[in-house]
Amino acid sequence: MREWERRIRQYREHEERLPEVKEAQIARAAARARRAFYAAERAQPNGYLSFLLLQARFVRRRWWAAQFAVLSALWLGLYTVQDEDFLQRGSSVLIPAFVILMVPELWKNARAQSAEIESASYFTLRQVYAARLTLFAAVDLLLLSLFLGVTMATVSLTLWDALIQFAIPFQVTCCICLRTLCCRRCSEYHCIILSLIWSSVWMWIVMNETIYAMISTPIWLALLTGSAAYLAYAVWKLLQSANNSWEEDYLWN
Amino acid sequence: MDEDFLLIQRMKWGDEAAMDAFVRKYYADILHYCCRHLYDSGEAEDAAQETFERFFRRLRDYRHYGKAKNYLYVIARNACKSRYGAASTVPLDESIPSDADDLGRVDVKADLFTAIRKLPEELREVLILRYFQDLKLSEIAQILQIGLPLVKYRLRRAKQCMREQLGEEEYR
Amino acid sequence: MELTLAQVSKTFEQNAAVDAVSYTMRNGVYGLLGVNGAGKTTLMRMICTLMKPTSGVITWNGRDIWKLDAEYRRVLGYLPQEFGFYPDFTAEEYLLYIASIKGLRPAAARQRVDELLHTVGMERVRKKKMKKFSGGMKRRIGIAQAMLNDPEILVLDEPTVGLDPNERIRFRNLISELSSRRLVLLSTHIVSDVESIANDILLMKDGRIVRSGTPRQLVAGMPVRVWRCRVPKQEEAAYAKRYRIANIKMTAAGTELRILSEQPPCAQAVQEDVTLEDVFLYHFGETGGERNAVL
Repeated sequence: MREWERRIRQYREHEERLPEVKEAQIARAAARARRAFYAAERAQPNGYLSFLLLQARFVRRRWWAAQFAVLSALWLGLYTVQDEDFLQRGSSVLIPAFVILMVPELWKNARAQSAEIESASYFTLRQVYAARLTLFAAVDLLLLSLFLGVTMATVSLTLWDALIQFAIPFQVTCCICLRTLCCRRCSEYHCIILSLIWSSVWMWIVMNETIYAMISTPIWLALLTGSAAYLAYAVWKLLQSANNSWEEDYLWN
Repeated sequence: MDEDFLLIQRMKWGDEAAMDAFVRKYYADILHYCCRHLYDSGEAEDAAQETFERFFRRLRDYRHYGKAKNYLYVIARNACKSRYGAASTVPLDESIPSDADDLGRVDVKADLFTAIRKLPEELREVLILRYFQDLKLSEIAQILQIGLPLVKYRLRRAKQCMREQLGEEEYR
Repeated sequence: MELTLAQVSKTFEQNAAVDAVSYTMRNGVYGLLGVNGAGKTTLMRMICTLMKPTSGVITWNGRDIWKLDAEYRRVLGYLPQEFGFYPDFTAEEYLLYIASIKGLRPAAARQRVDELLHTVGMERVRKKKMKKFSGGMKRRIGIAQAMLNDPEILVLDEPTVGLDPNERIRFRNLISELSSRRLVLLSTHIVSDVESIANDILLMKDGRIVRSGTPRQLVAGMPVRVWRCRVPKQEEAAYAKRYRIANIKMTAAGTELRILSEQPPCAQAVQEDVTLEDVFLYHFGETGGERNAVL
């Protein structure tokens, strides 16, 4: 057995004649391979999942960084102050701020007035919005769960408190953003102003002892589920509206 | 996840340097494999080029489960098979190089060479993959889409056949 | 490759912007010529599936474009009259972004963007932010954008607006370069834009195609003749009231008028060759809002 393997080895080393691999040959193979690759790439449209991931490249990462910074600031405040007042005040300001940081990216298409080109493309504007919302939802979910995890571990806070203080302002601000995005007469400034109004109303509610005390658990629950349901509706509505914006618009024909 | 994973990801995104690096990395192996099947360097080069072309045509759908190398061998094997028709019409003796300097060596070489060529296709395949391409048994199993025991069996049979043939010739 | 409009109408609150247009287009350049407000943009938007016709159908190779949906938009390239940019994007980023929406795979997109930046001569500024671009540069990127998916149908709405004469010539050359193997529909209110490059010209007025054909056919089909005559300055207004004037030239000997008329307008009138501009004027002269554009 060994002897036999040795013979093959010997044959390969000394006698087998293999053509020399020339640089030009490799280059030719590589060029042919590239051509085949590009031809195949051009022949078929992109899949939706790949399209979705690709959209991440066109989102300015600094907004995500800013969102991260806001949450870090909130955590730092909660951690160092450890006081109920701060929890209420801080989160009712910073959580809407966290959401507002999405606004520039969400409004990008409307702002740029490039929707006419986008609507005449393979993927519709609806799919573009859906992709961007999905990306933001995914990243924000990650950021928020990270934040919640760290906060629960380091700050004495019940899950119930956290839900009220974080989830309700978050969801309502998201609703405001998405609904104003649907509205054709609204700009991002409307959205920001409405969000600020909401944030101060919210702060007033949670800071006001008498009102806060009056609100019982079922009401909180109703608020929570109500805003979540409305958020789902707002997303659906936005995707519905994304495609028929040209019908009414014949002014500059 | 092996070293090719990142390279292939870069290729999918259209990184031409990565594509070149990939071809460069495996070209010699594949070319030699084709030579060992086709015995004609022109045909072999053609088959090797076609192998890479086919790999890249399907690169988008390629999922990196096994090794890219194994997949290349599968394609190369098919490329060679489709050329067998032409190659096997060449008479056996003509295809053996006869310009060696040392007579004794020519004998050894011719012996081994003809012995390999006389093997049934399935045995020759495992022999080439194992002893000429230096692949692991598990890799061969993956390339040929057969179980590991069958690979071992075929390898044993191939060696047996070789021994018989070469042994006989040595006694002559 | 065949794009067919069959009795296509679009009505906005009782106003017919496009009125029962029927036409079939194949390979080649089609020039949609008409004054502002003739319904060109509405027609093009319907062809680009941005608007649904109130009645009538548009078919591509015999199939309704609304049923084809994404499959149709995959072969469509569109340059709107006015279009926004993402000011923070570089030229390259913008094209890659549009390519992603057009469904190009990333590697193919990269290669195509390189090609097109070369074609439109913008390679050197590919890394520059688009807010720093001039009108002509933006329009070149606009054309590149429309060409990303190598479309079979290329729709260009007033592509020469805001371009200086040099850019306009470059643009015309670019269009004829791009027009092989595809259907190009190009709207304009400037005759010289399409005169040399369009195989067929469609004259659109009040939502209808009033006349169509090759430039030669349009010229040959003119029911009136063109005359040049010299008149004293004080009679100029009288002539303008009676005839359609294609051109007015002041000379030392008086005013030289180019007049569209069946009969010679004056005794010493010299007959001249009909040009496409005369045809345009004949159809749009009375109601045309922008005479300057024609002259």
